[in-house]
Amino acid sequence: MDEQIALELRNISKFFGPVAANKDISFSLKRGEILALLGENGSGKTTLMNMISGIYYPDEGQIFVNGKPAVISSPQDAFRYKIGMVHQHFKLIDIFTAAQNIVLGVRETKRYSARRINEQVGKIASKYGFEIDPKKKIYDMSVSEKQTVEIVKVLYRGADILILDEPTAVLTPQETEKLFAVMRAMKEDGKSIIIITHKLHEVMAISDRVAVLRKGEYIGCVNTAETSEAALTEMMVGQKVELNIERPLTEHARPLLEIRDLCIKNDVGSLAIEDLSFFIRGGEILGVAGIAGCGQRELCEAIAGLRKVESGGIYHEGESIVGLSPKAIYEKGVSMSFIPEDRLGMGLAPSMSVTDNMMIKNYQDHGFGFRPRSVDAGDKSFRAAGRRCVNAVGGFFDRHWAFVNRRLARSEARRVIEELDVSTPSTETPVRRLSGGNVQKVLLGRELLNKPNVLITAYPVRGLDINSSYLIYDILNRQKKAGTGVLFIGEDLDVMLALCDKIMVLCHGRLMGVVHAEKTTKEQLGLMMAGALDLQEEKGKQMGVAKDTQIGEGETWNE
Amino acid sequence: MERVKEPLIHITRRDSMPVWKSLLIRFGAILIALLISAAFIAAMAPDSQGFFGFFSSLFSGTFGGKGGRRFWLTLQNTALLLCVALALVVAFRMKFWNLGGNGQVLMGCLACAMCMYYLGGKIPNPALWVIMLVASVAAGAVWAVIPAVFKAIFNTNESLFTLMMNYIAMYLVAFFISFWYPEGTGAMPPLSDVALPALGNGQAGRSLLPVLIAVVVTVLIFCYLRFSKHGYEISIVGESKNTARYAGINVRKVIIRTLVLSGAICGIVGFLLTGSINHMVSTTMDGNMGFTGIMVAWMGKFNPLIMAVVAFLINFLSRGMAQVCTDFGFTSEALSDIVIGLIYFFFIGCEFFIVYKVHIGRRKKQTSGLSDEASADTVQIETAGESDNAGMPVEERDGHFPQSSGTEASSGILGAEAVSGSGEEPSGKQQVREEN
Repeated sequence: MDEQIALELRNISKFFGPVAANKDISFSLKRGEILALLGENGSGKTTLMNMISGIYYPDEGQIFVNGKPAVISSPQDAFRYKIGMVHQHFKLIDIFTAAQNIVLGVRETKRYSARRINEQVGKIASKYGFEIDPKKKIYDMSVSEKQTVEIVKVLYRGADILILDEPTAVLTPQETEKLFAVMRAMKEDGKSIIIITHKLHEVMAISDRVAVLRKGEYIGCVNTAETSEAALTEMMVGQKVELNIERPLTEHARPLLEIRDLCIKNDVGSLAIEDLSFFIRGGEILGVAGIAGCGQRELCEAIAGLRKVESGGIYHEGESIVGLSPKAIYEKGVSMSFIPEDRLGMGLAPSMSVTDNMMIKNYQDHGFGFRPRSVDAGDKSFRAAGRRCVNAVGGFFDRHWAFVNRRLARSEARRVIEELDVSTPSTETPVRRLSGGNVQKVLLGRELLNKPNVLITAYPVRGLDINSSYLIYDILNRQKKAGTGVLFIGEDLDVMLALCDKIMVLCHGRLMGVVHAEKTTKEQLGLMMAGALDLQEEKGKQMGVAKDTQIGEGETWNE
Repeated sequence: MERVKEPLIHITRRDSMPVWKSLLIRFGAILIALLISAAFIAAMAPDSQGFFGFFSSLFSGTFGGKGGRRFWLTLQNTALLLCVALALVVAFRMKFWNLGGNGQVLMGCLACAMCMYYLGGKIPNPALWVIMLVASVAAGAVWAVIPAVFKAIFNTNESLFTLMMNYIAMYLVAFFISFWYPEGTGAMPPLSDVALPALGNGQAGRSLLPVLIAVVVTVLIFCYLRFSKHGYEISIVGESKNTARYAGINVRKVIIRTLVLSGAICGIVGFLLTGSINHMVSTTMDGNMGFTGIMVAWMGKFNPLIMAVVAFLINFLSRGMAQVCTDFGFTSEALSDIVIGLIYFFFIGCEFFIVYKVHIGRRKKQTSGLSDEASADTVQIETAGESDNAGMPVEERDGHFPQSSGTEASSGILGAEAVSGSGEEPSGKQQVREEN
């Protein structure tokens, strides 16, 4: 057997009931190699990796580690074979420090000594270029720090084969770069890495080889240097996919939503958004770029009425909506769909059915279906008086009806499922049992039911595969064509450059400028995101600056 | 291919199981537990009344005796326990772990007793009964709403708070008894002439009121949780407070309103206990139903109708085992506790076999799989697994369930399953493997 092979899979299959999650999969991982595992949602990547790391046991086939057959039937076994997995959802204990989490579960004969562990963690960190504070508690950490802890945890246990499940899904471009640097350092050290990701350009940037899965089957393995994004997509999807995002031209209407000198505080009481002014017109997509946590969430919440506005104004069609309840704002046609890092935290109730999630916004309006009898205004007959009476009583009970109308919600759910092509067994399936893309479609679909004229959507393609992402872009473009103003808070600059009409850049809650997407470059956006380029300071001459950063004279809404 | 040692037992998760099959498993588990218990008791019994004597004694605890007295007593206890469990479930649906059932019931009892003590004989009895009911309900509600207000405003830990309120209630009762009857032995004499009269003759007449009230409360709570806007709001707040806020729900209001309801139902139980059944109050009048009720709620998967069955089962067992102990001449309660524990163990343990499938021996090719009925009900298994973890909001992870009911009941598979609300999948570990 080839000495260079660290891990080999032969004819691995795994069934869940009648469904084959993995079917006859064989490939190998060389020592000192980064292998990207590519596949759409539900193609069996995570299942396969779970078998390697001992969480599942294959129904058929054999795993070889260093050329020897291996039985990996528990995570402890995987650990013995020096295989470590970093899961997509971190498995850390919040109230422990980084160091405590790292040593958790490691059986050592030596007594626990915080200092010794801190030293060892420090050693691993400096060897591969991690930035980590062993004494920091997990609940104080950002997502990327938590991920670092997870990776160090596997390294501390002496893993030679690392599996990273969608590590970049929650990272900013800068953090991703850092992670890639670390991965390269590990590769130099002779470690083998399998990385699962959806982002093709990352695959191209980091991997040596790419293995592709489609619907649980192994399609093939190619050298990264000899392939292209388009070829990989074709392997993944099974057909040619147009990788260009459409940007339809529309008639720009009047500004629908205007933000003026807005200041918002974050949860700890410091300013999250500082003197922000911008507006969204009907029929345009305004992108919001910025590194994670520079006020996007707070801005969304403020517009949706979930967060207190410290000063400044938010005007919807000329009317101030500051201080209105979230429901009142929603009824005016301002809808928000925010996909948080864990996908399900905001806007959806994960254990509840699709139907129940449909009515979250409008259940309060459910009546018992009372239809007022028609009465002529001048009619003074006894019969008309009776009808008026019925109308008054019926109307009162209809408005104050104590029960929800699931039949109505179910028909709405069916509409969303049909129109957005959500794949779900039924309308009564709990949302958390749907795959990521379908969850996001349900959320977006519910917001669209309200026929919003301003749609705020934050990270709508977070963690989605190519096909689902393009479906979401398509939905947004349809909304744009229908005259809706879309605020698109995104992560991927390439996508934003292709999809948005204008891009607004935030840096630490401050507006760095609004630029036309077709006239700007990724580099310029990067500089603005980092705060190195401030178009607000030096107005005018810059390339691609959108003229209407400030609202035009003739268009200003009168208060 | 080269074969290596493989794990003997191989566990996989089921997609779904037809209802009749899961019911069959549950009944099978109880049957096995009863057979083992019977063997155990037969072995322990001083004289050989034998294996079948156990069964006849067990059933005579509920169904034996003259004139259906035991049956009505079991029914009455079931009714009271079910009411407390329903009160708790209303809060549990919101992931508000109300452990203060005992205290809320006791406060209901105390308020009722106060009315009887101070107003008894001074106003006409029917008016007094109305006042008793109102006072009990109000006292129970107040006892539940205090922790709710703190939770809503300061986000205090409701489990500890409600738990501590139990002790305050207990000592308040003790205080009032010694205040009213300073010379007594610490027990309050029954004030039977001002209490509610029985609705008929015998035990049936005495038990009828609690049973009727329990039926009404069960139906109302079932509809409230399942169909009403309030019930819907409770579920959403329990799922995610952020989502609730976003939906325009006033989370504080929902927490407080729900706990008023929860405490009020406990207050009704207090009213029944003091006003109708015992005609007095004591510090142990709650019968620890606040904790047994937790078990009923979880074993009943938060579904009022299943909970009714569970509450009956629990009372059937405890009365049956008391009868077994009497008939067999056991003086120690430990034996009865062991048998009850054994039955719970099997009943809860069988949930594992409903959720997972166990393969013994070497792997063989699975072609058709386990369930023909589980047709297309599988959406992308891979991601279903992922979202199991993703779907767990912080509250859920933190809202671990304190095990105070003294049995292994609320842990493990069943507990996790009930958290997920719909009770279809345990949101527990993905680890589905054991090695032998």
